[in-house]
Amino acid sequence: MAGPQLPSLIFRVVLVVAVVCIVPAVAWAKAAEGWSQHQGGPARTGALTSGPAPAFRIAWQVAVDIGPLSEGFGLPTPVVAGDAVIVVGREEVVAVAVADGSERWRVPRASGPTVPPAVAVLPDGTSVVIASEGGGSGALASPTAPSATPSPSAPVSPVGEGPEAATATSVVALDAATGERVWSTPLGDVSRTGVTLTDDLAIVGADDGSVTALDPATGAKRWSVAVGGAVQLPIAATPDLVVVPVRPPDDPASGGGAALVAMATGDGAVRWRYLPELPQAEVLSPAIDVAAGVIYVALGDRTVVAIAASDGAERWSARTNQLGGLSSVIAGDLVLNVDQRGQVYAFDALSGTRRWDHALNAQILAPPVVVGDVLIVAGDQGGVDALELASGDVVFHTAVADGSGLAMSATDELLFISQAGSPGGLVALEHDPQGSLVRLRSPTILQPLTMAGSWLVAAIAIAAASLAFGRWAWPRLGEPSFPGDDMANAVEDPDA
Amino acid sequence: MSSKRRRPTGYRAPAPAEPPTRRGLLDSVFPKAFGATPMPKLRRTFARGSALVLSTPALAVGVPVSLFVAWLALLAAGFQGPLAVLNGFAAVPPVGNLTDLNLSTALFGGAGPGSLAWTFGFVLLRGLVIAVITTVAIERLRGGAVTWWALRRLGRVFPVAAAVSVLSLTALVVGQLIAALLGAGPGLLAYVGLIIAGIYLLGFAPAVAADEDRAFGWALRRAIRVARMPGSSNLTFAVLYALGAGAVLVAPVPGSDVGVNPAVSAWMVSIVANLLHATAIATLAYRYLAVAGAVPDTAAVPAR
Repeated sequence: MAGPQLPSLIFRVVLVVAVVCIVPAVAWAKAAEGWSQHQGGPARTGALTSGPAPAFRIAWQVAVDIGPLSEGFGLPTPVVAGDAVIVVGREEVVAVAVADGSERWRVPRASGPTVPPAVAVLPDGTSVVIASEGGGSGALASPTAPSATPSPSAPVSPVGEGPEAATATSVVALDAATGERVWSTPLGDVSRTGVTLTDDLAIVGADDGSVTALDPATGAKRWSVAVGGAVQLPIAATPDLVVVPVRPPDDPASGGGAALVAMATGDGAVRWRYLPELPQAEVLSPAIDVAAGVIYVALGDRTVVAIAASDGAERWSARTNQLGGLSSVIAGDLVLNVDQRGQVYAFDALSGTRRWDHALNAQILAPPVVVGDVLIVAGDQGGVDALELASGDVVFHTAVADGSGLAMSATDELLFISQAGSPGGLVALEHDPQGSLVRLRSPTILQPLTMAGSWLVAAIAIAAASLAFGRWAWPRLGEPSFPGDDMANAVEDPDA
Repeated sequence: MSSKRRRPTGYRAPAPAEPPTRRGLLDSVFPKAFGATPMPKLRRTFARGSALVLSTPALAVGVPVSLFVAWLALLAAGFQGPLAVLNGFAAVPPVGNLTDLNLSTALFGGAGPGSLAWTFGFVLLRGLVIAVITTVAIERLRGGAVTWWALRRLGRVFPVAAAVSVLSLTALVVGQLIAALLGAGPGLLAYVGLIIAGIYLLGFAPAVAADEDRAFGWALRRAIRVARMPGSSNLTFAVLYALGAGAVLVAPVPGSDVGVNPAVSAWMVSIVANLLHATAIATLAYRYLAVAGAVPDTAAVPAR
């Protein structure tokens, strides 16, 4: 039997090439370039290879309705859409120019938790900002038991008209250029996870334990799968895998505990579940090293674990002194995490060995980010620290405002920090050529002479004062005598 | 005839059995003494306890030295601070057991057999610290000075102090479970109540053991009878100590930051806090001795 004619073969090859290369380009939405979603991308690595170097200074500031920290916090991660940076507040979505912070648009949003949005480029070239909204004032209170873990669920005090002000929850897409609504898709429950955007899916989790994948172009539901518990923290994803941190249900009697659930990106089928040793321990937001096939996640039992993406097997586990921060950051061969007491840990990505740590002793709520060769940590009272990745030394510290940093993002030129405060807002930092750098070692590095000397001074001073006072006071109180004090009851020594 | 006398293992001869008295709900187990108690006023006993600790080199110097040794041992085990955790190093159980739990959680994560083993180790160490301070205090109060004899007596006091520490830890764990069941408000009250009850009922046991040289069960029963003596203000003492010590443990004092090189101010706070704990132990010892002769016994138990 004769094979295909040459022209026919060429036609078929061209057709295949067209299908493989051209059709996806015109039919699928895709994530925008740059820091277009929480922690930089769907894998949530939190690292940018180049960016502004310390020292920093404020380039501009914009007020956004993020809310004061005393009323709660969420994850108002700023994301970059072309030449605009976009933040989702409690009741508004704001877009400002990257260059100078001038307002591009500001549109109302159904009251609900602040969440990380994601920017998608649709097949027609339009950029849309996809975010969840709604839930009303009831959704602003944390639905779960009190936790020391910072949550994007924002235990925020009620705003609006009280519990009756609850609104329907949905995922909406806004035109990144104008803020106009492109589509809206209702959800079954409040979403606090933010949106994770893979090449052709916008994925959100909800309080009812469901994970839903939508078409970024139309909002059409592709799949929705219930994974149990509550899905409230940012979800990580690769083209093959969706990795979902699941919180234990409010009612422990209903069964199930915390878990990290891996699902197939294509259809949402559950591939595996990683269960922490303590069933009620939090599983925080994962970060994925796609090339190595490893997922890093902090757990509520004060550990950071590395898990194989293929089967959920634990590769290593490393301890932290306090509960780990919301997200781990992957930078080269380092996995970085900041615990809630502000201690930064750098673990070897392969072995989990602690390379260094640095105790900042500040309340840290914002997931840290790596920009170039420094780790940026935004703390309370506007504090921003830059730590050298190689040594862990703090090389720069500044205070940019009186609020607490909640989330960050970066471009090559600027670092953006969402801050809680009254009013909260967005701060852009740029490199300050006149700024001065420092080099501060961690207080966890032992300096024997300093430590012993401090003790000696304190001990001598207090012991000397104590003995002087005590020897003055003791005789003045008189020799103690007790009723029934009966040393005379001592018996004769029969051996004497 | 030689006048050489052998020193007794206990300071006092066994107290004589009391005649039967009116029985109350708990009196079959822990009989109460009725009438006036010879217990001095709270303020006076605290002054005596303070003067005792501050005038006794074994305590005034021993507490800072042991604190430093404990810090070095913790650093060797990987602890990175804060030093403020050790502000309860010499605290009376169950307050002191909070420090044990904090340390074991900081070092081993609070879960698994390793953490459990270390918690038990810290609890036994607490028993040793309490036993040493109590023995020194009793020796000073009874004999006027601290001698090497205290070391021998320590061997008898330690098991009782360790058992008290273990019992207190158990009470803490039970308290946490109850607190979890009752919820935030009532649960916290119940938890604090259990801590106060632990100090109130168990606080005298090491002093009884040091003074009477008896086994744990006997010392515990007698300690509870001492605590329940009317007009003794023992409950007030337990409440004041629990609240004061609790405040010291949670207050943002110098030394609350993570770090292995505490500043002079941090050391000062920690040393003073632990001298206050030692003062509380010495006060309990003094309060016990003040009423030891008036505590009823259910039955005469032969001395060992």
